[in-house]
Order: sequence, then structure tokens, then C-alpha cells
Amino acid sequence: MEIIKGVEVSLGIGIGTAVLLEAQEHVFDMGLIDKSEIENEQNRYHQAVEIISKNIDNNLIAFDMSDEDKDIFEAHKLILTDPVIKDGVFLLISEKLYNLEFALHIYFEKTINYFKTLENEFYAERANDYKDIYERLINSLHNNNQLITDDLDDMSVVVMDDISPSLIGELAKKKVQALVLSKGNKTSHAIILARAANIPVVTGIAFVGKIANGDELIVDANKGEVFVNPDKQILQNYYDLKQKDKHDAESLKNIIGLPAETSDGKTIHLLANIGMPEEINAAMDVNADGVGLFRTEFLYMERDNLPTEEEQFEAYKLVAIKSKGKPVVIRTMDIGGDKMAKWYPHLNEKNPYLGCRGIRFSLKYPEIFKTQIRAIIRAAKYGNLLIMFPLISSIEEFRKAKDYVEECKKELKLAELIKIGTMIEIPSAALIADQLAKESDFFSIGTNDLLQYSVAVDRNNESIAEYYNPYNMAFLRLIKMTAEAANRHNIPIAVCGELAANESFVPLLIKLGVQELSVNVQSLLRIKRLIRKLNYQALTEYPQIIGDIADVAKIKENISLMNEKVFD
Amino acid sequence: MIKKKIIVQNKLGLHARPSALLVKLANQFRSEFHIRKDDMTINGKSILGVMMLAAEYLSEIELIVDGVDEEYLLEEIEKLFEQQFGE
Repeated sequence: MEIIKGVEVSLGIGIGTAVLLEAQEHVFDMGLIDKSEIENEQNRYHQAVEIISKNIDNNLIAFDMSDEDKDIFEAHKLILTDPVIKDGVFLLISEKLYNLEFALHIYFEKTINYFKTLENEFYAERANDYKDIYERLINSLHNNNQLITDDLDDMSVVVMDDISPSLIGELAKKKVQALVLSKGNKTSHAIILARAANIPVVTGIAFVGKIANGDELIVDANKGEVFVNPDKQILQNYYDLKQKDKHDAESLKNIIGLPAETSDGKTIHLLANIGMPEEINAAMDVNADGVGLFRTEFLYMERDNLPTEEEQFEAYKLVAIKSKGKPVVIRTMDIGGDKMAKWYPHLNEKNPYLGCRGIRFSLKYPEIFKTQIRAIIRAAKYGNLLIMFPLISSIEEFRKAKDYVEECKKELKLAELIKIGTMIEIPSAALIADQLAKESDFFSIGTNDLLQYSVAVDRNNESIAEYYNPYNMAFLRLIKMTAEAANRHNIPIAVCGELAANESFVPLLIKLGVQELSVNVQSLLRIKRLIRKLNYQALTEYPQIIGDIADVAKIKENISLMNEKVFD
Repeated sequence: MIKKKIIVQNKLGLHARPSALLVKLANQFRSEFHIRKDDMTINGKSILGVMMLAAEYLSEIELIVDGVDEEYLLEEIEKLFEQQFGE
């Protein structure tokens, strides 16, 4: 068995037999023409444009696609009928006597290169639009890639270099399992159509020499992985997963538009955790109540230098705008511990988890910290941004960090009202939650770190994994204390760690007074479904769980017993 | 010919959707329509041109209309900008 890693561009799981399709090369000349042929070349252009425009119209009617994908198609239609492009191409034909293919090649290459040089990422990405249009035009002029699709059926996984939009239609008709490509990008026509047709697609798979006709394949387009001739057990797991996914996806879709409230009407704010700005789209697609944790480490990792204020500003701005007024909690950088950036000063710490990480790093290097804060403050006017400091262990740290925010506001002459919260993930913070609550605008509990620091267990150390147990009473007491302090001081209290997405824990968290849950986008609807079945009154009336029993197994059992009683 | 300077108020700038709306609108009129930003002047009836401007939030652009229905065209374009393209 071999696992090949690629990029997921259309989600889902497909299991079937590999069918390698070889796209025929377009055989055509890029050359010069005679003057008498000018009109003919120009007519060929008009015909190609007409065919593709009609195709797009048909696709827009035939497929149910997202608004974003529709906008791409609309923009592509305008590109096709753009008078400036037509004139530019026609000039190359009439003046330089290039044939149409040659003229298109020269014109689009120039255009694609222009966009690539733009600094604004959004505009730079337009290069892909022009590349896609160019390829469609050439395809339409040389309709010689008539692939033989007779062998395909609903057990096929199609493997090829790149795919044309028209072939996607064929694959959809044959109900193929999945598509594996070596090339292709997310915003191309073909991939948009694949998404609309629910065909799982993984791109960037160098399959030559690794996948042969007839190989058994699992395409996990949720993770971007292709399994070649998988073991029986893995195959069985994926069959089960696929079946479950299918049922789940359909029933979960129905609750996207419904609020996250219990069966007796208590609202729980259900937000998304994101780690990249683009993930905001997925969060909005599942109708999250906002972003409860926007991790900003992506800006700092995998690079040799520090991100500029401008770069950060663009990232925060994008999320601010796309979240349409819903709250977005930006956690300032949490570098250190297990997350080391290349530019990070080598501190040579014996125990990095207890070292210079989170807010400690920010306070040690205020210029780096202030660059981030300034970018957030500037982006705040585009939406509802909140700031959260990670790894706070004392009130002094929180005050110092807050002072920097004030300082930045003054420097920028901006009086934006930005709420500032504390991430509770160290026991010492939980133990002074009553004090921190007086000065914080909100709390968010990071359960992963809070547990690891409570029980002094490195959560990546497998030999002591048994001690990293969330049913530990000390840990649960810390959550309870924090929630009580927040509720007493009337500030929102959220949980943004893994426990928020753990179905057996959610009722307890709510019982302890947690009002907001922030979970990864994939889990959000599943947790919403759970909340909607919960009976809040039954939950509050149920006897207190965190009492005088410290036995881990007993606590676990008590929670299970409670969970049997609090759902409708 | 009429010229008029305006500031882009759309927070994402003239990105795909506003550009498309602008070009579609302009193409319903007979007048010529150009947009100037810094040293670049482009045909406002061309999506390629509008995208090449890469006009971001708060950037200043100049609308240049020329032709029989120029006043109406300018009026409609201004409306579109004022309403921030319905965003």
C-alpha cells in the first residue's frame, strides 16, 4: 500500500478502480498566416467564444453551485466577450499575421504575467482566470481530446493530468467515484463543476509510476490523500466512513440555517476555529455565529522573515469583511512550545512548553507584538474584531499586553473600541479568574493546554498519555471556577479547545455555565445538532457533577449517566 | 466629455463582483467609458481593464465618459459606487 499526498479541491471520499485517461496533446501550429486568412482566423475566435459562453450558461442552469463559484463563471463570461481582449488578439492577427492560436498564446501570456506581478494577492490570483480562459479557447479550437469514456462506471476513479470542463459533465453522468489529477487549480472551470457535481477531487498527485490501470484506490478528498491498493482494514474503515458521511452530510445540511439553541430555547453561541484567513468562507458556509479563535501562527510559520504590518492587515481585513459583522476573536501569536518559526530566536530552552511562548514571547519582543496589534486595530473597522492574549498566567501580563494595545491606538490615532479577552489555559489564570474577569472583556478556555498544565503532562508524550485525561476533577474544577467567575462578572465565557467539539463533554460544559463553544468548521454542524437536542432545563436541574468525587472513572460514568437524561 | 474623480468605498476594492457589475452596466450605454488611476487609463467596458487597475479600498479613480449618453452613464455609474455595489 502507498499513500500519496495531494491537495483537496473538491471534498468527499471515493473508493474504486483506477482508470488512467491520457489527455491527447493538442496538436496545432503556432505560426503565421496569409493576409487572405485574417478574416477566417477572426471568425474562428468568435465561434470559440460563442461555444464557451453557451457552455457556461448551460452549466449555470444545470448545476447547483455556490454564489462564489457562480461569480467566477460570470466573470469568466465577461472575459470571453471583453472588447479589449478581442481587439488585442485581432491586432496580432491582422498586423503581425499570427494565426489565432499564436495570437492567443502571446496575448494571454502577457496578461497572465501582468497579474502575477501585482502585489495584492486577490488581483495576482486573477492570473488563474486568464490561464483557464486561454485553455478553454484552445480546447474549443481543437476539439480533438475526445477521450474514450466508455470504460467508466460508478466504480471508477479517474486518474489523469488535467481535465476539461466538458469531461467533468461526462464523469458526472457516469457517476464516477472520484478524480485524481496531477495538475489543476481550485478556481478553474473544471474544478468548480466537479464541486457542483459532488465529485471528490485531489490535485497535485504525481501518479506516473505509482498508479496503474486497475489499481484499487481510496481517494480521501477531505484530507487530500490517495491510498493505492489499500489494506483490507483501511478499506473497510473507509467504506464505513463513506456510508456514515453520506447519511450525516444530508441530515446536517438541514440545520445550517437553524440557530444553535437547545430544544427548550436556550441559545448557545457556536463559533468556528480557523487557522487560515480563507477558512472564513467555510465557516460562513456552515453559518457559524462568528470566529471564536483565529489562530495567527500561519503568518509566522514556514518562513524566514517576519510578516509585515501590511501583510497582516490584509489577512485580518479579509476575515473581518467576510465575517459580515459577526465577531472574530483574533488570538495574538502563540509561537513557542511546539510551534517554532524559522526566524524565532534560538532560546535553547530545556523545557519549551514552560518557556518563552504565547504572550511571554510577545512581551519580550514588543516590536513584533506591536506590529501585530497595529494590523488588528487597523483592520477592526472592517468588521467586529476582538483581541485575545494566549498563555496569560498573571494579571500583570494581561495589563502589560493591554497597555500595548492602548499605545498602538494612540500611535495610530485610532479610537476603535476593541474588546480584549483572556485565554484561560494555565491553572494560575483559572485560579485568579475572578480578578482577571474584572479587567477582561471576555474569557475563552483553551482546554488542551489547561489540561496539560493542570496535570503536568506533555500532551505529546505517549508513554504518559493515560494521565492526560479530561475527566480529571482538578481540571474540571478549573473550568467550573473560570465559568463561574465570568458569569459573576457578566462577561462572555467560551471554550475553544478540543473539548468543545467532544459530544460527551458539551452538555457538561454548558451545565458549568459556558455560553459559547468554538469548534473546527468540520465539527460545527455536528455540535449544533447535539445542542438542538439538549434540554437546558433538565441539564440545569440535574445534580452537580463536579462535587466530592475525584475518581476519574466515576466522573466519566456520572457524565454518561447525565447525558442519558438531558437529551430530548 | 465629462470627467469625475471618486474614491472607491468598497472594502474589498473593485474585486470580481463590483468589476463585473460595472462593466455590464457600462456596456449598456453607447458612450465611451474610461477609468484612470495613477498613470493608467483603461477601457471601463473591459473586465480585463478594470481588473488591471487593481483599485483597492480608498483608492482614487477618475471616471471619464464621452458620447451621446454620457450624462446618463455617469449618473448610473456614480449610483453604483454610492451604493457600494450593493455590498
